[in-house]
Amino acid sequence: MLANEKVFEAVKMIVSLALALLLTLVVLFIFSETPMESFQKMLFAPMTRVRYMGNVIELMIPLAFAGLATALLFRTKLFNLGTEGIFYFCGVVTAAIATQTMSNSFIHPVITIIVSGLVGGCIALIPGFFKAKYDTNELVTSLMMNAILFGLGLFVIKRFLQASDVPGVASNLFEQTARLPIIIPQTRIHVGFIILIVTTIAVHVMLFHTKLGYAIRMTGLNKNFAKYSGMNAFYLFLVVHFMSGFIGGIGSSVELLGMYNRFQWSALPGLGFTGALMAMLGKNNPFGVIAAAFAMSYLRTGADIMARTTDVPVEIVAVVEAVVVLFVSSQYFLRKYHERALIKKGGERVE
Amino acid sequence: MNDYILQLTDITKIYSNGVVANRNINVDFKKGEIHSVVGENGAGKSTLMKMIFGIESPSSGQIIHKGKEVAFSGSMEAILSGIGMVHQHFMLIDDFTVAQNIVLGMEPKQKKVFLDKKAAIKVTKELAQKYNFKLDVTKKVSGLTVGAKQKVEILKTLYRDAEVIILDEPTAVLTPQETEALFVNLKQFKEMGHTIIFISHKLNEVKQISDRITIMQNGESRGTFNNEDITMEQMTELIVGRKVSLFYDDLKELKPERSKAFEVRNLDLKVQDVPVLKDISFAIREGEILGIAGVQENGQSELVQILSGLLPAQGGSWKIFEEDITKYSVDQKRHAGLAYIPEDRMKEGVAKGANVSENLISTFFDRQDLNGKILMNQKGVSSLADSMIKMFSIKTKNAKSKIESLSGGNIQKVVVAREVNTQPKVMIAEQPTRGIDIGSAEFIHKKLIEMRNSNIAILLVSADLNEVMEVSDRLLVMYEGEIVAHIENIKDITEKELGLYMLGVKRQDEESLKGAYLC
Repeated sequence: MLANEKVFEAVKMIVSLALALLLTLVVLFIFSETPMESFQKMLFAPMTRVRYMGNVIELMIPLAFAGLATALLFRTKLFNLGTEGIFYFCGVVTAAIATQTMSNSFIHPVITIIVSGLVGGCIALIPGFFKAKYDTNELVTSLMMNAILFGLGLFVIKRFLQASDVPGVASNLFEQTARLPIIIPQTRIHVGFIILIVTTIAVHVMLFHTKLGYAIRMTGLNKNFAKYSGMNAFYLFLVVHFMSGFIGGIGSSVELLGMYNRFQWSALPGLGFTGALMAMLGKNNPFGVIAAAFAMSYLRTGADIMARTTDVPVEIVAVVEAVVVLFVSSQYFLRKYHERALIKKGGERVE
Repeated sequence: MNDYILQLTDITKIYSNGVVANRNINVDFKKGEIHSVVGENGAGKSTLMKMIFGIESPSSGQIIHKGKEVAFSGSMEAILSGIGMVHQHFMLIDDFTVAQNIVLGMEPKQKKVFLDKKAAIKVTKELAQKYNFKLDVTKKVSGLTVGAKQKVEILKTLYRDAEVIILDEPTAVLTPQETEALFVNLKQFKEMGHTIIFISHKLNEVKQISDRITIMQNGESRGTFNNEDITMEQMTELIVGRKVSLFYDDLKELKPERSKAFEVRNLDLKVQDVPVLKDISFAIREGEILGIAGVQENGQSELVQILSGLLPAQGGSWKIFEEDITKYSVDQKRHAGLAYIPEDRMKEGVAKGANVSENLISTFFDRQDLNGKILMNQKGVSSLADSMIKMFSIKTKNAKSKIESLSGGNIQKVVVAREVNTQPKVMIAEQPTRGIDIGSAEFIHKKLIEMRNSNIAILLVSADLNEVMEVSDRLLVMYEGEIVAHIENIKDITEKELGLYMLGVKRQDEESLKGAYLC
């Protein structure tokens, strides 16, 4: 059974998670007075109440958007971490539009989200253009862009949107017409969840069922092959960057309109970087990213509940995250068993 | 003690992607013999050698070295036990001198710390003399010919006191003259007590030099024979299990009155002021195969890359019939009717990680029959892929298998199938059968001739003399970026004579060369 590549990957994921949890347990035994209780809280508490499950989903939405945006770039073998800056700056754009008065509560969020997406896409074109035209290292440019966008966003907020009655970084309150409605009572799960699902399906269809997706995947797998086949890397790099920025922009907007009543990020939110993690854990597959985002949110919510109800600090969840990432990203972890299974099976005779 | 220096018992190797490279192999190597291991590419020769040399470890079975079982965990251990290997692709540092390359990693030292350059030169000079290699050890490797580089590689193993020397396809890159010189050296090594393991799929060479021959097929050993006990015909049968036709003349239809389909004029290329291509002009008629022979690295691959659009041209022009395609992008060139089988199938020919059907459509994936308004027509793609797999007898579990699970020959068939399917007017085939099994190679040759018969112009670039001589209608020879010979009728020329052109000893006068562009 382990001989099958897909089964093997799944088993590897489960074993990684189990090992990470085991390690967490060890840590809990050292630092907690009530290790078993804390462990149980972390693992099972999110399931016990609708409200907690709601927390998981709310938390998952921005992570998944950031993951999707980054996965597209990674698929094309572009190591671009610019989703972070785009999340921040598009948040500012969202605040700018959401604080305007508009009468229609359907048009208002729709315009906000689309404009935010377009701005995100255009911003992403900058490192994309330099990559395509001059083969600049996109990691460097995207990280620089993050710093620039943060500074620029902060300036715009302070200069034009700062609420006079609130200290620190804060925009005026969003108009009620702009807020995304809640779809499941007793939780804060908002329409953004539906937007996420639609986006995921769209990305999946684009990647696996269109010409563009085919060209993106081939370029990512072998750039020389793509060039040889006549695919235009210049155009592809621009398109992929735009799409990634667009998804990042939507994600940022959806998060703000769904969860907050004003813009209050005084630092980069960290969502973009977590997005890179989601992309990696989800193997750059849209549905994989969703699953990874769900798992991560579940763990974080569990850790949060544990921190509130026991003597263990929330940071413990970082241990689990780190260990899972370590094992899942390892090419050699459990390889031996995979190979042994292959030998037992006698291997495939290709000739 | 017995006189076997190396014994392999029941060796099996299965790679992590599930491919069985070797199955229950038993071979013994005697001290002081030249032992050839022959088989088609993909028969598992290289894998077997990698295990002896410690680069790979066997999944099961034993390697016994001088009577003791060994399990090398890396090539360093193999080297220390007196096993040396000369790889197909040289592992030399171009900016170092010959002497520096030879002593690299085991340098003679001054005061235990500093490299003793004088001693290095002295030791390597003596070594070269001892083994009758004519080499200037103070020269930089970058300036050497391929044959000389190979000598450096061999000296490297001898410097490390190799008793067993593994040579992986050593003659693949050599001219006939260089090959002969190598054989003289190998025989000398044998006299001196070294064991030579000679990997090849060129049977005449194997027959010429070996004491014993082990034949491999499909990852298994078909037995070890004394050279005098087996004929070439018997070997061929064991290797492929059937006779192969090596002459394709009967398949070629005669084509009178053909117009020029592809014309290249005055192509030039300089890389860092060094001329790589000098005033290349030639033409191909429709329904004709023009071969370009020559030792590798004489400008052929640059020529092909420029023609196909992967390298920018610096001077010259080329056209398909009357359409000038010089300035076209790769995509535009393809749409104008140019197809291209690249030299390196893993680098350009396929995308590793993608499946067979995805690799079969990359050069025409935007074609109408494969696409709907927005979505790709998956049914169309898979039925096309299935029919291509069938037509080219590509051995794969199905169209959804990963391309890397196929053997080299079948991967190459995928590339050829795709390029044939673009329905080109002109096909550039660069080393179309390099490193693949005889069966697949024959299949691909027949396909090329089939295309020729349906009026496609074909440019066949190959370092394999047999290939260009068997398949082409006319022949050009390239040497140092120039066309030095145009051979109108291949039957009029011998391999020896071609070798002289390839090495730059002879060249035709301008008048004869004009024939290349059909004036």
